[in-house]
Amino acid sequence: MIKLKKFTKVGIVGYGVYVPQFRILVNTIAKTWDKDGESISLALGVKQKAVANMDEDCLTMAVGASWQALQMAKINPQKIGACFVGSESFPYAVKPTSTVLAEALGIGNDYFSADLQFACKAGTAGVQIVASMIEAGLIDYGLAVGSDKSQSKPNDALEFTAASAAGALILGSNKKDWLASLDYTSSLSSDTPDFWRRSTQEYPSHAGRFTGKPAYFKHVVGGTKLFLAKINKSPKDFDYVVFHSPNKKFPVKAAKMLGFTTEQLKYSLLVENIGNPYSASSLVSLANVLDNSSKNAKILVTSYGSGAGSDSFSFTRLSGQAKQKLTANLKDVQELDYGQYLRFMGVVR
Amino acid sequence: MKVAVLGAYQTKFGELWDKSLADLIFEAGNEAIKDSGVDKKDIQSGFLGNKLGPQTTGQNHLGALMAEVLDIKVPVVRVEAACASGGVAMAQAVQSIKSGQYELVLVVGAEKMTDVGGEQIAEALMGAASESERQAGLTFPGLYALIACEYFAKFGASQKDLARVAIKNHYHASLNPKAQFPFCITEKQAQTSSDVAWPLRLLDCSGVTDGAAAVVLASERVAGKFKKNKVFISASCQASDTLSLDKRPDITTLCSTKTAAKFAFSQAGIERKDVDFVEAHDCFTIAEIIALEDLGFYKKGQGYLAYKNNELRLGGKLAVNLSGGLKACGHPVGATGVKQIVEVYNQLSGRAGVRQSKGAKVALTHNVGGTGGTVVVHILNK
Amino acid sequence: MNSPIKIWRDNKTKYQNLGKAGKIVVATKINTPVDGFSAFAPYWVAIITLDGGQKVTAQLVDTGKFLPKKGDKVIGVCRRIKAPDKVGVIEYGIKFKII
Repeated sequence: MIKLKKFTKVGIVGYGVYVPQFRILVNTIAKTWDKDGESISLALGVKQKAVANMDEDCLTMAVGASWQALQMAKINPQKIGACFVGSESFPYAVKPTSTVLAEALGIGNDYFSADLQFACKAGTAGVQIVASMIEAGLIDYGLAVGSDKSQSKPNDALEFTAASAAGALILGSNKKDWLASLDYTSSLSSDTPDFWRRSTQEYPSHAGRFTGKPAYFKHVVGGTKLFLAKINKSPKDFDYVVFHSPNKKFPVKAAKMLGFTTEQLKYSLLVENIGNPYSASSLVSLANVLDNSSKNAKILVTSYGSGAGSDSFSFTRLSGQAKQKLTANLKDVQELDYGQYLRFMGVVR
Repeated sequence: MKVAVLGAYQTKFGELWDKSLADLIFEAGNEAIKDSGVDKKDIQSGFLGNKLGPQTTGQNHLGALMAEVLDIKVPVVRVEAACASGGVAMAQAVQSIKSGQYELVLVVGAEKMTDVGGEQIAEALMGAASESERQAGLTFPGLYALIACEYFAKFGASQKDLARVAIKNHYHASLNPKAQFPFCITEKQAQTSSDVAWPLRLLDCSGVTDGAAAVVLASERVAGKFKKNKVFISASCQASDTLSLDKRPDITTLCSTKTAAKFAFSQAGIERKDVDFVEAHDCFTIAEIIALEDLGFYKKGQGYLAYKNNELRLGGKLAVNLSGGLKACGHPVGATGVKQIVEVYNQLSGRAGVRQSKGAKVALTHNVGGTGGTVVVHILNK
Repeated sequence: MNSPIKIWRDNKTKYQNLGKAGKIVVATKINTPVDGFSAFAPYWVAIITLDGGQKVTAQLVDTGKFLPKKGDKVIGVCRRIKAPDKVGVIEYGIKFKII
């Protein structure tokens, strides 16, 4: 059982986002398989997804997002005492990506580190671990990243949304550096086999409609309800909410089921234009909310990872709106055709 | 003390599928010795110019290979300086005679390139560039393309000017039965050949070639015993520059060419106008243009204009690459520097047949390693 | 297979240009690549002057239909150097992206 604990020593000192420059339209993918792209796009609420280039992977994107976060935090990287990377598309089955990231950023050798796997919530699991370490007084700063170059089987439903991106958070213990405070966190976990990938398989498998009610909704809605009850808050106490977005339909429905408004969701639906970058999804949406929220805004985040579980967080924005929005250049894109998409994803060489 | 060339030989250059590196050394070495009229057992030392042996054939210890193949159990050393391996082998051999150590030596340049695929050869050749150039995914055409881009921007040259170099060299090669590409090309063919690395097209780049060349060098005293026509080496100068292009202040100038040429002309005691023809290092068309400028024959940025008339062709004021150059005769990397000496020897001895430079007395050879990390210049005269 | 030891040793220097800004001095498009880079071909390579004055030679990334030219501003980003094989240690380094 998770105890209620108000964090007093943890805040966000820097955040970063990396979304590759390339997009493929849902329509383009649908056309390849003789499907109706318009209706699929409408049903999912997704227009296109982000695709990483051939020489990009989970690590390179993690570096991109983390470097941004580091620039924002304005700290000496050697002060970072923990580096956790969450992904379901690590470049290695065995060999930590988090230490390669730490090396690239110049973090030194004196830090806690591990790679985390919990489908789409691996990144936020890292945030919980880093926050706990700071609260315990073990470290002053910690980096948590969610990064994925998500693989999806050609002609499978997930092909329309499985995307590439990375989101990074640097948490710190010095109140005067905080852009937002972390107030509470909790999780809901279970053994629910809705989506999985065996180690020798290239593509994940999923259980179709089972991924809905008993999986995503049970943990996102159930987890958020449990969290709100613990911290004695209700949806109206928050200005913004972020739910993991495998598509647009699910977070909108979850919000409705819980009593959140579309206004509260408005900055966390990047899925429409970048697709679902798995472990990065919640962190990228959180970054967009942080960019656009004002001082004292209350932010609720509930991520979701198949298999299954959800992590919930409550943040309070402490500084004003960001002058330079990280997600501003998401408009600067290049469109791919299906063949180029396969090439970028390494399916054809 | 003068060093004489007593004999010379070049194998056919091309895709010689049925010849190994050992076969090429065997042919060139033995034929050069035969041509010179010396007794094989009088040869005192050997020098082998070769760049890619270990990568394309798995063979190191190439000096010993040459000694075995040619049956000359004398000190033989392999010299490697990228595409200047042959030229540096020559320079080392000349030094060994000038120093008084030896009086009769054999120099062979040999390369076997076609046993491995195109991308592997490109990677092996990039051994002549720097680590960061390799990490950047550069190729040799890419490196010279960067030079060409900068040259175009500074001096107003264009792809059309590059094509003129290839057209000239192919014309010369059409008169050379040993050339890899013994045929003329048209302006249209040059302009429409495929892009390799902009602005260099296929016909701006030397190809992948197998081949070998060899010369017998002698001290003046030993040479005096032979009644035949001799050709003398009046200058042999080597210079270095940075390995990386990005460490140079101006990538359109090969300082190593300028330095080697300065010392060579001083050593030979002659001026630019005394030179009748040149074998220059045209690994890419832009390289020949820049070579003529850095050797001092034309002002920087004006070399490309000389191709608009016939002054650089056979019969012209300063014929360049009568052999067909690297572009059209072929460029078996380690052999080129020695082949250039073979061509000069044949020309100055009056044995060049239909591509004979009439009345020629003085010639210059120019051999470059990589993008100019090493350059060797020789001046020879009748 | 590449050398894991060399990759480890180069850790000290290979990321030093991450996030560094500069300008293109000269660039070319490579159509015939070397082994290891075929998956990326065709690609652009440039000599770049960094804002601190130092010159570097590196691959340009995400150029798409854009034509890099002298004076274009670039920034160092982390990428895989080559298309990796299925077995060896992956080599990362800094390439440059036009901004």
